[in-house]
Amino acid sequence: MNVKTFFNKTYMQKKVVPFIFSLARLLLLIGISYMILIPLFTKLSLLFMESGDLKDFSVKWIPKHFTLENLRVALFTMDYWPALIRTIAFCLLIAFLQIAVTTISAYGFARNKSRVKNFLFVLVLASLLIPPQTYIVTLYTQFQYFDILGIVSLINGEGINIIDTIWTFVALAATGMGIRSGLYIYIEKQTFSALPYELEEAAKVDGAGMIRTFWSIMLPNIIPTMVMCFILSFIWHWNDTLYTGYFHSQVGTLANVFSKLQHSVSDYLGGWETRTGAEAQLLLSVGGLLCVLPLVLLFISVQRFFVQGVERSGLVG
Amino acid sequence: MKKANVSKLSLSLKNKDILKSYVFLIPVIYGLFFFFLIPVIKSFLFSVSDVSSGPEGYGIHLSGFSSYNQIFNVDTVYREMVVKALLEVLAKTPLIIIFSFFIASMLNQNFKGKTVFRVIFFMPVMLEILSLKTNTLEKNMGVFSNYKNSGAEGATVSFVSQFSDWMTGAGISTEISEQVVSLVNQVYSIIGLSAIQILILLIAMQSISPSLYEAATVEGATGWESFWKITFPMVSPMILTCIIYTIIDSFTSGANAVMERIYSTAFEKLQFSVSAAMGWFYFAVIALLLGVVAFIFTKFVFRYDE
Repeated sequence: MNVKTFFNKTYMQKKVVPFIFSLARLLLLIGISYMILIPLFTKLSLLFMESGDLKDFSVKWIPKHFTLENLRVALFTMDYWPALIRTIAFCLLIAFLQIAVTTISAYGFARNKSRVKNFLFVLVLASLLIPPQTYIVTLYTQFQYFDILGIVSLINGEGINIIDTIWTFVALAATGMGIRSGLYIYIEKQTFSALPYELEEAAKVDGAGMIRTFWSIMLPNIIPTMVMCFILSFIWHWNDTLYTGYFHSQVGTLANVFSKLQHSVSDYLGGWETRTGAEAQLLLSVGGLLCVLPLVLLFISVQRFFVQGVERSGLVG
Repeated sequence: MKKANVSKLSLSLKNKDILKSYVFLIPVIYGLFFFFLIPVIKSFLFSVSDVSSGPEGYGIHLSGFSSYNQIFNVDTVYREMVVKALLEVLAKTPLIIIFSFFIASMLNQNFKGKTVFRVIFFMPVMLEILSLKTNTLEKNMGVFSNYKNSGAEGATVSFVSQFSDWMTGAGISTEISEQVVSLVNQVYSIIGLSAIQILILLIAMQSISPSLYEAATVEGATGWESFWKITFPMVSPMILTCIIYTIIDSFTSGANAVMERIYSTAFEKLQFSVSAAMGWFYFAVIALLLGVVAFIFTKFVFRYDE
């Protein structure tokens, strides 16, 4: 290519300018991605460092004294493997329940609109708007004397205390009031509304009842959205410390264990002041990494479905 | 539904369908009533009464608005905290919205590796706990901050401090340079808080029908024009959703000082009524802000059906 063709106007417009633009875009995206991933990278490099390396300013990324001691201590103090299995089981169960119930309610809201329903839907949105911290104390008392429409009192004399049991979460998720349930109801309602009404009418003409229409006609159509909501719910339950802290501090999800790491680490190291801050810093980093790494790996392995759900959800409709 | 029930004994087909569809709402009606309305009303009652908790439960005696008086006139720290939180949200929300709109429109383009970037930009949702908890843990444990200077994070910190030195050297007053430095420091948090907004806007942009762009290109519109005349108006309802999401998210995040205060007042000082009053005052502020924002923006939002 000679200089003349390079400075040719159409060539500039067609090839050079877009190339510069895409290069700039790529650089910008890489730069911001780098900022997002920095906490992960630093923690990954701290994973193998000795406490001496932290004070050594010539060490930036690659540790001079490679060690697995931090990992061993963190695994031990966090009681890691049982906690990991507990967390996965807890998140799967609660997220599944939450999405099942919110889908059913979303369908109820999307079809056969009436004034009462609109009012109820406003309440659902309100449950999303009012910060849970405002009423979590009184919600707590609700669980201290838990009762299902007076049935429990009839048998037991008074409501039962379900605080510090998994039932608090089951109760919240099964009634569409779990962590950000309102958001999923909203998203799924939008998706249901975007589906053509003729689909349902045809089913009705063919003699399908309401539940059958829901199960075999509507549900298959919104599975991508459900999967997306499920993944979001899984992530938010994984990272939750507010609800678990109040209602079931013994559940011992990883986020919970991590937020209490301070105590377990200082127990392990035997008194905080006698030790250097460097060791604590290392253990905190490793603990945090161990807390989020499984989640990130799980997300990457299912991101295909997540993207699919994003593309097909009828959020704009 | 009740009216229809009373006035006609034999329901019309439509009303029957409506009635039947309530079957789907049974769980959520139960939840709304027992796990939302009752706690919310109770918490309001708490805020206007004197709560004494004993071994056999708690007793409440209505005592007017003394708790509100407490947080307005006696304990002025809380009032200042709320104002500070409000100002911070007001400053951050436009930045978050602009940033996420910018990123979403870039991720919406077709290029190699876009999936990788889409995953990375969603990452902050998962990494939230790292930034949230590590800071509090470090504070509690008194970890020396200079250990933070290891690695790349340290490099950014030193860059910022050099920048502020340079600004002082250039004769810019320290107040302004402090403002700029705090803004630069907030870049991290803005990127971290934008993940869901980017997702929402990306969904919105993907669902715009390509035929609109085709028609525009045929008519001779440039990319710049079709961006402002098609993409922006079509996405604008979702921008409102994003603004509302951002406001709620930043007001209720666990990192918020007000939230910590409400928590500690209830569970460390055991002043339940004051804590409830704090929560209600805070909610009133949020609701007011949301109302104003929704009122202003619904005027500008473009609706496709109209």
